[in-house]
Amino acid sequence: MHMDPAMPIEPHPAMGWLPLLLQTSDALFPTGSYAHSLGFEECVRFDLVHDEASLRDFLCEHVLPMLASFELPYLRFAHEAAIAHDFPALAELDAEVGAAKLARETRDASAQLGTRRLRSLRVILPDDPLLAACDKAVGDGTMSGHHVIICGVQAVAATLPLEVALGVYFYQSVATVGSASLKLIRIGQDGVQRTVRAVSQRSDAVVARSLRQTRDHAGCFSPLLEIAAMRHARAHERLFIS
Amino acid sequence: MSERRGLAGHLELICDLDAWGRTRLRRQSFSAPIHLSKPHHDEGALVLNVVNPTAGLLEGDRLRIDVGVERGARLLLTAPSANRVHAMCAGHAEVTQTFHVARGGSLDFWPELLIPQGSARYRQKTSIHLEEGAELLFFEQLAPGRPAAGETFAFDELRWSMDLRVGGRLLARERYCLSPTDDSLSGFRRRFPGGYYASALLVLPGLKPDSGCWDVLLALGGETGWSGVSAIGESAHVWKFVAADSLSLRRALGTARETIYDALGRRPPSLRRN
Repeated sequence: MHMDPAMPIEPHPAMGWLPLLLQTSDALFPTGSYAHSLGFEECVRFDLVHDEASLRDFLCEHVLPMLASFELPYLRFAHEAAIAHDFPALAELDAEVGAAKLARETRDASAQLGTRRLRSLRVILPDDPLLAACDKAVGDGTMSGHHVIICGVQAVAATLPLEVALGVYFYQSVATVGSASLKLIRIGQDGVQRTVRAVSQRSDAVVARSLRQTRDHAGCFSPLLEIAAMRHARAHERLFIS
Repeated sequence: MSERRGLAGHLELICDLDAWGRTRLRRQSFSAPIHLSKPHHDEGALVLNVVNPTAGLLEGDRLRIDVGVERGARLLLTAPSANRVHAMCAGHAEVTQTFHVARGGSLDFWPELLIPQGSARYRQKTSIHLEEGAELLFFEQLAPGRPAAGETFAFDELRWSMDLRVGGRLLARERYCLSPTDDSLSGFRRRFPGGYYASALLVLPGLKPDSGCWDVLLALGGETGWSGVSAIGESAHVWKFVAADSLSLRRALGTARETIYDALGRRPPSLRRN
């Protein structure tokens, strides 16, 4: 197709949120996620993951059920509360997320990632009232600022469609494990990319499943991940904070 | 197919201290399929065995359990045998249990192994409310089914819900729905094809801060099991254990209970009448 160089290129009107999304989901955006494996490091020590195939199994059988049944539903609940500017509801959701993360290291990591993201968002969106209110709530101890809750609030602040926010959270969760795997198992960049691509093809199905999850039932049976995270906290040697 | 009309049973208990400082049952009420054995004292606790005189939980059964432990009272609530959830054509069995423990009170809950048999559907909703300074040892055990009968993860659905609140604050929450036909058990079964699961909520205000008991719990498992323990609040921990077989599970649970009581400077009350 030949484009007339004189014709101005108009941005797609419905994609005004894209530049901010790219910025806040890029590795350059400081959230500290590169320092966390969220239990994955200990799963490698347990030999649950050791190569490309077992990494794919791990993501599909441990990470995706958690996303579908717990993390993505809570992002949606936070999104709904943020749209309503219902801060007591946000604080309650934040407390529920903390209570469901039984491994202390995972719970602390979730709050660290969330508060770090919130701080970075405040730098680039200093006048956003939602983010300011969350910042205050974290500051006075009303909220811990769990990552998934802050991501739900961010979606509203950035006028991101919910389905996009859920898809981004899905990708980032998979990519965090993929990134950690580069340091922990014998897998090259190509192997990680193949795995992330294969797993990401389930994104739509996982997001759709998450949309059916009710708050009273949101949760996941994940004793192996929990035990791995619990043991990681007492490991003598480790590469990652969690 | 419509759901069979099952039994609507209940258990209501309130424990307090009598004039001699011994734990007594101030109030008790129960109905089938729940029966209480004669209570007795052991190691300073009142021991109550909750007996199910039917074969186990059947389709349509609805059980409500309300237990209160008042200041200074110590209760061990246990069962003489595993609890079976039987095959169901339609519907489900359901247990809704609420526990209140006052400051200075102690509840040791040891319900024995839950065995969901083929086609079983079971829902369990647990709410635990502790005042600050209350003690709790809350154990749960789950079997994959009846491996000896060739029935492993053959149940239809287990739906679990648990909230632990201390001083009104939500400290721990678990929600899960297990079904062998979706991905809720895939990761677990890949590593432990016939795996057993146990967990314990341990709120122990009397435990010394330098207690080494958590290291002992962490070291359980070895070749046949995984063990993890983590703090969930001040004086509160959760212990999780998965095992390849029932013997490893029982051994680990026994050691865990002994270790915790030892760290508290007490002998564990016996689960059975000696």
